Amino acid sequence: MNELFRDFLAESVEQLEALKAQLTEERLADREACRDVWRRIHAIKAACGLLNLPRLEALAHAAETLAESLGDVAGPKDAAASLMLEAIERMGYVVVNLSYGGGEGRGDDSALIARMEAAAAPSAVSWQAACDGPPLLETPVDQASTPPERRIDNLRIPLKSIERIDALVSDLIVTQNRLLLIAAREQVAPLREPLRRLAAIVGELQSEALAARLQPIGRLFANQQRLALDVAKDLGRQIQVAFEGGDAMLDRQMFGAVREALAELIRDAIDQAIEPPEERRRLGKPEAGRILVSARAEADQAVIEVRDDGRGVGDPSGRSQGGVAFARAAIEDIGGSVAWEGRPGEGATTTLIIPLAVAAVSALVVEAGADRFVVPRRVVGDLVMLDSTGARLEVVQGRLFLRAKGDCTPAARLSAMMQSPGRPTPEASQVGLLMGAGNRRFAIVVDAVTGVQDLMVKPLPGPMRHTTLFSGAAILQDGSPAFVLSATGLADTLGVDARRTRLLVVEAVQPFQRMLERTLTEAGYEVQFAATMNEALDALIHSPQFDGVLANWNEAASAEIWTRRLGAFGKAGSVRLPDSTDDGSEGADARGFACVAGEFDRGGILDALRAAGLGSGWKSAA
Amino acid sequence: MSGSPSPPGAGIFLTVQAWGRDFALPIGCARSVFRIEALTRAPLAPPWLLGLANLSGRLTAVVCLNRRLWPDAPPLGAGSLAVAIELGSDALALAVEDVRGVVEAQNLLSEEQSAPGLGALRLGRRSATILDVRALFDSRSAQAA
Repeated sequence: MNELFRDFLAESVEQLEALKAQLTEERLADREACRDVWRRIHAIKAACGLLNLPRLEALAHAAETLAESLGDVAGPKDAAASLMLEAIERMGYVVVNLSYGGGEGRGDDSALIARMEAAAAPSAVSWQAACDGPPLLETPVDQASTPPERRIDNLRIPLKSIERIDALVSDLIVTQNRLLLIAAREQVAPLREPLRRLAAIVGELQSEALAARLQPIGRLFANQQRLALDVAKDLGRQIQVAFEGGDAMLDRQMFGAVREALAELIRDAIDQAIEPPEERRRLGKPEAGRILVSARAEADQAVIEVRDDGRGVGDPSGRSQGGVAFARAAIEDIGGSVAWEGRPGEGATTTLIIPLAVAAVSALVVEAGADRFVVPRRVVGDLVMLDSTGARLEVVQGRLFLRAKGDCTPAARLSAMMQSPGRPTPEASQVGLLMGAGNRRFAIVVDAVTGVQDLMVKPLPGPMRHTTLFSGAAILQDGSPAFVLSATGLADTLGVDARRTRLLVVEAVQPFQRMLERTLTEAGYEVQFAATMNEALDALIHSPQFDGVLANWNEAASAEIWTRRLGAFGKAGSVRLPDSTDDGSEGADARGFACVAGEFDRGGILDALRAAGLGSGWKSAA
Repeated sequence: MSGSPSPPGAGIFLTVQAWGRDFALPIGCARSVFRIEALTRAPLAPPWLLGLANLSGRLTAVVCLNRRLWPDAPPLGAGSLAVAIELGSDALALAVEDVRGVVEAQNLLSEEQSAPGLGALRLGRRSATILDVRALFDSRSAQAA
């Protein structure tokens, strides 16, 4: 039995068990429940075609159609749910039979399928009657012939058990921390050694529990490659599939949804996007279509991209039921998001963003008003006290920036962002956290940093997924829950753009160029040099991508002329010339144009840029 | 597998009170009853979403039944009783004014089909609205009247 098949069986057993529980509890009560049932059955059906399992596929198809047709019927649908349960049990028989190596088993499902079809048909006079239908005549599987002692050879621990173990470990940590506090307070010396040993055991247990949850994304790739090649063969396409970044770790809880989403995206790319070989030849493309699946871990999320070199057209939401829309539903269910971007004629990229969810993280515990939050240390670049290091908050054009260590970063006060109750802390005792999400930099200002703790971050319960500002929650050492800040969510809310501010710098002298380059790059700017204003003008004509121009005072002496010329490019309005040329760092106040004079003055240059509305190298979208 | 289902809601219910009125939850979805010791506020959440509680090591989202049903009702919080509920993999809890007990209902008053209830059952001289538990915890569903 190959790995793909084993995985399919194990996955199907999990899906069918979940469906059984769901149908028993909820009886297809609402549209959401029907959609969920549809999604699970659809996942099984999708794999059946590839694995050549016609019996299971026919059952799944009928059950899927039934679930879909019931989406608009209000209230619990007991008769339909019972019929669906019947189908689930039958599918379960087939799966069990397959796992024993006995093929799909003997039996005739036509009556069951006919009843499901009748119940799903829009013209059915009464689906209740159809569901109740004639009694089941066919024999599903000869169960007596199934050897009871045999087991599926890959043992899977149900996620529920892992979650229970996690909860117990969390509880154990909380209890241990209470004991530590008591032992410290009461100064119970004989407890010291056993408690130290307990801490070591709990730490190891926590790591093991975590290891049971995390798996490299690459494990998903092996199956996808095979699926892709099978689909391509069926559809008469030639493809090359490549995978990269399989080392990124993902919570097992996410695997099912990601596997489904990837399978559908790859199938969709081959079916809809990659042109047939002859068409590709005509278009001057290599005959074999290319699909690249790449994964990477970002601050607090995993990013998987599926890139193809096909048609690059199509409505991402309606491209096909099983494609991007399907992936979006599956990934949104686990708190992630999906984006699709097409380049007509060149191909398309679908990006899946998946929360890392459960993970043991070393985190800062911070206070904002009366609230406490957790910030994973890996997203914090630096901490600055607002009183001691010359770090301060500044408002530039209505936006808050943290100016620290020569850099100016878009910032926000966490207590304001979270509408935290409690008395505001004086600014002088606040702390700035310089943070990063991918290549975006920003700062949040908190009232206090109260400590560093190793915590288990868990996904938020359903109703808490109302904001992208949190990537999960954790139980602090004192037993209270706290929300974990999402660096990506904060950057989005702050409107921090990944693109840097691009400056055209007019400077002919090489040593100055080097100094300017270092200063400006450190502050986040992208820099290109022009030796003269004429050259700068030429650069602007050919590349209108610059956000502003920085000119040396001498070069800008005829600034009025240049202002008019630059104005034509939307780079500057009216430039107010400084009153005297010996004032080291005077700057023009027009947006997009800054001129500096005199000796090299790092602070002066950055000030002049800020005065010209080019305040931070890290561009803000707002 | 039987093809004749039981009527919606028939079975055993846990009855609770919110703002002085009786409600019923299918017993199958209730895991335990506990008193809320401490709560972590959920920033930017709707007012009925009280926050997170640590229930035996599980992060549990707590919804205030009073506020979920009537935006003007007095909010519940730390110190209140709550029913722990499991929906899928989510650990949830419903804060209530009181837990009345467990009843087995045969005669349902199915005419009272008002959201978020699925019907009503007779409790002596009173009636209790059966709650649609999934809708209560769905932050996307419209605010219940």
